[in-house]
Amino acid sequence: MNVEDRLRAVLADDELALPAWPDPVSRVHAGIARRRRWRRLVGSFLATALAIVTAGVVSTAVLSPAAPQPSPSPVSPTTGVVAWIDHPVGDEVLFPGPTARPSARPCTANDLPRTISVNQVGAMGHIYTQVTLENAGASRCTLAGSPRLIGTNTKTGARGAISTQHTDANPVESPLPAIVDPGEPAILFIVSGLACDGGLNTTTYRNVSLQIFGRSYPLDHDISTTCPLEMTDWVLNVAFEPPPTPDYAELIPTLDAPATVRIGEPFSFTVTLRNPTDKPIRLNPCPAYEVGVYKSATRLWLNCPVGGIPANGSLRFAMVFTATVLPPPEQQAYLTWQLIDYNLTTKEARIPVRVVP
Amino acid sequence: MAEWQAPPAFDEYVRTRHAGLLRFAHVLCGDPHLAADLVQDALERAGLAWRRIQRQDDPEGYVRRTIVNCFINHRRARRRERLVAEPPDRVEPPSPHRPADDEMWQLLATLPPQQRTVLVLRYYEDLSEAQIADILGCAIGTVKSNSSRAMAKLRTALGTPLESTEEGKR
Repeated sequence: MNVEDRLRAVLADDELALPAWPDPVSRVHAGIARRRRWRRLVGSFLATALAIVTAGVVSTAVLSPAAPQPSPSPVSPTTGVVAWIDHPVGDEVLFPGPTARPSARPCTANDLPRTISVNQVGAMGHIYTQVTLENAGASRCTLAGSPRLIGTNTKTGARGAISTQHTDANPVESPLPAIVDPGEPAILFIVSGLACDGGLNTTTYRNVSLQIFGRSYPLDHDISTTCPLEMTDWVLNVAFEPPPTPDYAELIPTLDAPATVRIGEPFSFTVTLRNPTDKPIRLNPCPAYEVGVYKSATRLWLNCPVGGIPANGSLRFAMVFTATVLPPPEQQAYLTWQLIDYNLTTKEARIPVRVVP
Repeated sequence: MAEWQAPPAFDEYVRTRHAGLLRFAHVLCGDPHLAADLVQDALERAGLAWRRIQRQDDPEGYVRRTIVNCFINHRRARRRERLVAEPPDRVEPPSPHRPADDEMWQLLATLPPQQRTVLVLRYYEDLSEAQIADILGCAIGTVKSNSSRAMAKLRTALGTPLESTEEGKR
């Protein structure tokens, strides 16, 4: 048997099949929920980036969505259909998170507290050692940079600086710079893991301490890792409440579109939004929606009437879209339409369409 | 606040495909525990992006690409770790999931991740060089060079003369 055949044979060996998970759906759901919990801790990354760029200016207006205001009379008197507006969602932040604070003086040793608190949590094969430090100074200051980590390598017995790499993979997905008020906490994470190297080559550090501005704080936690140790920057420990599910998540969209559309040519269709509730649903601020056919999609702002959608009523909206990607002949394409919501709780409408050259 | 609702198609995908993905990941990385981590990670990412993935009509491709990328990134991180790592504190018991041709399986474990990935995609998934290049985001020439280097290593280790191999006949 030649090398290729041996290779095929070994890769196809049934001994390499792993046992299926007892409840794969629940297992994956739990992981997704955990990711979302991390994500919810502190707002949107884009908001942070924008806020940093605009350092020195605290302005929620900058980060507010550029949603159009509801129009008093967008409904055509002849057709009863709300006119389409070509208003794509640009760089606006659809769901703004917390904003960065104005820059402040750098923190110094005088701002450091007597003690710090440390917690370890595990997620996705990693161990996050969370260090929380409060500003014990008299005024707001900026805690920047990474502290030194000192520890004793249990294998060699040597005590010294532990090598760490900087990581942006902060479990707080949208970290804000640690511009902390007196008494307010900042956090950083030391990321270790036992999943690297097949769990072999574990390095354990005991009596680990953090050195900040010449002061030493014991962590009271060993750090064991088979992965390179990583450390995040200090970030503000601000809880972020994501936006609540909007009323418009109740709306049920249905589509009325041509059965066949031509690639590259704009086509018109309508979306009917039905309000199944006993209360009117206001569309202020206006939501955005995503429309797509096969692999082409775009996000636009809805043209919202002032009165919203009446209780147990409905409203038709004119739409225009251009399919730009031709699906393979055997592929059934769909026109899909959905209002955009932070939690993806809105209902999607989809109908089959034929896309022709 | 509202909880994330899994699209029914995603649940069905997880239910029907996770075992196949586990097998693929195991062949790819050679470690059953890491394979489970890779599949879990890939499926979580897929769940969060399911609508977009469905629009691209290739969820399997997305998930496998994610598994491959996570594996290669993981091995890169591991290589960095090795520069400073101490000798192992403990030795894991051998995995019960070992193929009959243990010699070849062990040799695969010595290959760099890119080379191993290319071989797995070529000889397990039966993908073309162009398809492999697409998955790895590299040139076809890179796939070819990785493949030939990997095969040369295997042949050298196995003491197999080049003439008796498929590639040697070309």
